[in-house]
Parts: sequence; C-alpha cells; structure tokens
Amino acid sequence: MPGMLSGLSVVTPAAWWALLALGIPLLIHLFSRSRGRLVRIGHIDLIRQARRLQVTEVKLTRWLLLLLRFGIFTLAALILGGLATAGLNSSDAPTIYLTSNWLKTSDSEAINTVLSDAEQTQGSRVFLLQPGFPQADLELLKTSGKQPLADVEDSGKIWSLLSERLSLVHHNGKVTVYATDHILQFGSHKPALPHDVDWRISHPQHAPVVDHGSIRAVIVFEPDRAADAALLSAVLSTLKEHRLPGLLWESVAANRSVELPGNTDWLIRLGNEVLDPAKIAEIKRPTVILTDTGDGVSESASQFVSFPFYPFTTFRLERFARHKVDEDERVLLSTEDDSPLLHESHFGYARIVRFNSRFNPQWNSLALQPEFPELLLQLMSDPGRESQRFPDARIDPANLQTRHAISKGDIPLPRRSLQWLLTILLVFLWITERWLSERKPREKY
Amino acid sequence: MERFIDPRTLARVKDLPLIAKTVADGFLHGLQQSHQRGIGIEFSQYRAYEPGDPLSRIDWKLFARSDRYFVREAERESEIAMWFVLDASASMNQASEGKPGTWSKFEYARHLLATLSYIGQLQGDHVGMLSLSGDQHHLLPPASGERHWHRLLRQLSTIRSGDSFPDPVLIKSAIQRLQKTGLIFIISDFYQKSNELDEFITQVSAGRTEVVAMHLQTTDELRFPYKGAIRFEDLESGEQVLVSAAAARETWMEALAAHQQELERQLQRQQVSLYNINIDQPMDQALYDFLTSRQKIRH
Repeated sequence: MPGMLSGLSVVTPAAWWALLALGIPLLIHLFSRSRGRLVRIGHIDLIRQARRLQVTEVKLTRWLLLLLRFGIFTLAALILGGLATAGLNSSDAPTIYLTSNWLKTSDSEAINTVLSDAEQTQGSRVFLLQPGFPQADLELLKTSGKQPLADVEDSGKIWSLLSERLSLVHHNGKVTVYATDHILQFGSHKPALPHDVDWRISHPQHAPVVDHGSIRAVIVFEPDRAADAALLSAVLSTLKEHRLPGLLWESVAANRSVELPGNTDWLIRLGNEVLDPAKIAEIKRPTVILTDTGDGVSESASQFVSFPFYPFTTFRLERFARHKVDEDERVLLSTEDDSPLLHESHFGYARIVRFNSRFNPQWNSLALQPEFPELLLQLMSDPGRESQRFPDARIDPANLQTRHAISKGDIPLPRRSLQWLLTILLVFLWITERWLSERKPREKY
Repeated sequence: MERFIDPRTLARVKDLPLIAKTVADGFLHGLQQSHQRGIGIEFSQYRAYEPGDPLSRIDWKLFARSDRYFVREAERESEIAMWFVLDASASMNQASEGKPGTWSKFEYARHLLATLSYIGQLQGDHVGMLSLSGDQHHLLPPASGERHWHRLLRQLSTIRSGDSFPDPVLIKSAIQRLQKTGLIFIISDFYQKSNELDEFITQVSAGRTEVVAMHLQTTDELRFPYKGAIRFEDLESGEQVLVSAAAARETWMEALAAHQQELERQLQRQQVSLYNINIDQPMDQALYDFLTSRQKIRH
C-alpha cells in the first residue's frame, strides 16, 4: 500500500487550498445536517403516528450520507487537484528487457547467460522491447535461442519504447536492458528515462555512429563576475540535466588568455568591457552571444519586471544600466520607464543578446527564478535545430523540473492522470448518495 | 388598534356584519352599527321599500294611507356578548418556514381577534376576551364601546404564549361567565394533550351560546414540505422525534386528516361551527369568506 501511494502525486497542488477554503463551511454544514434539521411543531403525536425510522437507523443513514458526501467532496478535490499516478501497473520483481537487435546478434551462450541470470533472481521477468512488450518465451529461447521478432531496429524507437514502458509500469525492482551498442547512437543526447536502467551493451560492431552534435557553451567572465558565472553555470547544469543532455560548457576567466573554441554555439560573456565588433566579426559560424551590462554605469531601481514569454511571472530588478538600442535591435524586455533591459541584435554570424543588468541576486532575481533555465534555452537555442533533437522521445516537458541543483532521484516519473477513474467513482458515489437520501426507509413495527 | 389591525383587511371586511346564529334565531336582532336598524321591537324610522326587502316588513297600513311602500325599521342596543377565547398555549407558536416575517399561529390569532372584536364593537355588541395558557389566563369581561375595545387591544398586546391549554377545572369560574347567552369564538390550533379542549368546548357550549371554532393551520402542516432527516420538536413538551421526511410524509397526511375528521366530528356533536383558516393565506380573504358564510345564517 505505501508503495502504491508513493506513486501518487497531484498536478495542481494549488487547487487544494481553494478546496480547503470551500470545504470548511461545507463540512460544517454536512456535520450539522447529520443531526437532522430542527423543526418545531405544535403536536408531536402526529409525528409519532407517522411512519418513522428507528433513530439508530436514521443516524446510521445520516453517517453513511455524511461519509458519502465527504467522499464526493474529496474526490472532487482530487479531480481538480489532478491526482496522478506514476503508472497504472507496478512491478516489484526485477525486469529484463531484450532489444530485438540484441536477440538477433546474440549467440546461444549469451542468451543462456541472460536466462540463467533471470532464473537466479527470484520472480524476475523477461520482456521483449517491442510494441506490446511481449513476455519472452523462455522455453523457445532455450531451445532455439531465438524468438520471432518484430522488426524494431531503430534505436530511437527502442528508446521511446523503453520510455513508454517505464512510464506505464512503475518498476520497483531493478530494470536491466540488453541491447547492442546501436543504442549508443544517441550519444550524450539520451533523454532522461523515468527509471534507472542497468544497460548491458554488446556487439560494438553494430553501432552506427550518428552524431547529432553537441551544444558547446563558453562562459567568459571578468574576475569580479565569478559569482555570476557560477550561477549561470548552475543554470546550464540544470539545462543539461533536463533539456540538453549533450550540453557542454566551460567557464573561463577573462584574464586568462584563452582562444575561443571554433565550435562554440553559445558565448556567455560577463564583464564591463564592451564587446569588440572586430572579434565578433571573426566568428564564422552561427553563435549566440549573451552579454550583460558592459560599461559598468548603472542606476538603482526597485521594481518588478515581467518575464518575456512568461507573462504571469515577474522578477525583482534592483540595478540596471541604461542603453540605447539601435533601430534594427529587437527589445525583448523593458523596465517600467521603457528603458530596454533585454534586447537582441545580429552581427555577422552572431546573434547578440544583451542584458542590461547582471546575473547576480544583488542586481536582480532573474537567474534565481525557476523559469530562468527555460528562458535561457529560448534565448540561446536555435528553434529549428532543437526541434530535431529528440523526435521520438516521449518525455513530456511539463514533467521536467527547472530547479537548480537537482539530483537524479528527483526526476519526476511520468504521470498517468486518474481523473477519469475518479470521475466515474464520483458519479457512482453521487448516485448512491441520492438513492440513500431519497429512499423510502422501512417501517417501524 | 393600530398594531393588530391590518388596514387592508379592515377595509375589506368592516362593512360585513358579524352575525350570531342566535340573532337569526330571534334572540338578537342587531345587524349594523352600534345602533342597528332592522327587524326589532322599538320603532326607529320608515324608509322606502327597496327590491329585495322581505314583503313582511312592508308597513301595509302606511301603504293604505300613502299608497307608497315603506319598510319599518327598528332600533335597539345589542345585548349579545361576544367572547373571544384565545388559545395562548406554546403550540400556537408554530409557523411556516422559509418566508421571513411569517406570522405564527399566535400572532395570526391576535390579529384575527382584534379585527373580529373591532367589527363586534362597531355593531354595538359587547366584546370580551379570555386568553388561556397553563395556569395563566387573562379575562376581560364583555362590554361595548370603542374605549373598551382599546382596553381589549392593550390586554391583547400583553399576552404571551407558552405552556399548554389549561385543564377546564382550573378555569371553572371563567367558563361560567362564558355560559351566558352569547357568541363565543375559540381561536386555536385545537391540539390537546388529552381532551382539555373538548371538555372546555362542551362546557361553554352548554346553554344558549353559540360557539364558533376557528381552527388555525399552517401551510407546512397541510403540505408537509420537509426533506431529508428532520428532528421534530414539540413546542409544548420539548420532546424531539427524528424522522425521515420522505418516510413520514404519507402517514403525517393520514394522521392529520384523521385528526381533522375527529375534530369535525367532535364539534359537530357539540353543535359548534368549525372554520379552518390557513394562516399563510391573506387574512382579509379568510375573514371575508368567514363573514359572508355567517351572513347566510340570517336568511
């Protein structure tokens, strides 16, 4: 039971507060109703003569009705709160998945090794990583060493199948996947799976090398911006964990003589020095440059500024620098007095995004907002390129958390909504409640 | 008058005579105003014949002299004593639910009593009042005149409902005063613990009195509109009974009908007129119906 409950979660916990506020007067009403409404009459004998319930029966019915109504209220709360479970099924036993490519390329010895592993672990089950997830016919595997297989060769499909399976079935036991290094074509771009997987990779000769290319970022910071750089580095870490597994970056102090790598995608430059147009002109590939206020002349402000792309989210702005924007620049964000705060321009291959403040909590709270990693991704990434990154991965971005310093164990499991089930239950309870409250009780003899 | 008289009600019924059956039987003859004109002993005046006047009232001697039809009218002071007996027991506090400002039976009874007594005093009848609840009773001997009627209203405003209808033995002296010739209105819900109301009516209806029972009921009593679990509480005893309204409705209606039949039977046996009044209906209509029905007694 605790295992079952541990898989439950709610999508919109805020709904609980509204329902709690609604529930207090409702519960008071229900409790008071359970005692029966008081009506004063002139002659009780007329009631005594009337068909009447035993008081205990009335009380029992009242309590049942109270419980039913409380259940209806609770179910409504759960429906509105969006109760979800990690999966409709759960498996406590260790599970082994075999990819079709692995089965095709494995000899009898390898298959027998898997089977003996499975037999050694009490209750473990073996499935084929194919649509429908058929259970492996162990006898057939033992005798012939093979099993009829659907043609599922593409590693992307295997990955999405595995993701789907781990979403549907909540595995409490160990998950082992036997695959060829076909799977390695994802390289560092593997999307997060909702469960830890013990990979058993074999047959490197079957691994076609496909490089989707990694995003490489460089943070160049002046000495007084080390804290800002560390904060941005944490944000990039979050992005790598949840959105861009292939993201690579390094932080470089500006006083070190470092050549900018030629394959840099993102250049994050933190410092007072103004960008040198000549150096930007040297960039020969599409690069996004994010830079903060350059001249060091800033003024105090105390205001809340709305997020670009997230109109209902604001951050606190304490200091910023005024800059004029050219006509060809696009202003993404402004202060209350319309001074540009975030604006972008294009220069050669470079797209320059300028932030007229610093990524520092003393200047503003932008980088501390949970939405900031997503905002940074939108600012920096090339939408056309990103859309091709995980075409088959069925990872719902809504389930990705954009928090700093998140551990792997915090990755939320994909959730299955229980709202339909709860709605049917609610309707059933409601019909029962109506029947119980309107039924004609038995006579008192 | 003021507090217990509804102008709308009064406007509708003030010109209707409050006729006692005894009047029709010939004991009393007053019909209108304090100095009533009609069939009487002491001559008052002649007036021209109008269609509808009984031929027996035409003065034929005068016709022989004047060749015109004149009707002889008499004038006399009424000698009838109108008693209003108000049931002020706690059960009269019952009222329908749901509408704010709804009168209880007791409030309705006080307004009804005030209006009827006003008509009575307009006719020149003697009006008196007896209010009964528990061991307390207020008695105002019958007298005529507006001043006396105002005294009745003042007393009426001091009466509070409570307790149950008293045992007739305890109010023997008051009953004896009611047993003289007259008209007695009993305004009550006619709920009784044992048979105290029956005994009371038996005693006061003895002799040459006419007794009119005005039975007050609420819409809630008649329709039983309750739903769900209801904890009924007796207004007099405080006893509570928890019932399911859906289950109790049918037999409540049966019990109420049985109670009504029994009441009618009892009153009929004692030759008491019964008028059922729904207190949630406008009082002017109820009074109009009552007075016009009384008017038929005359003919």
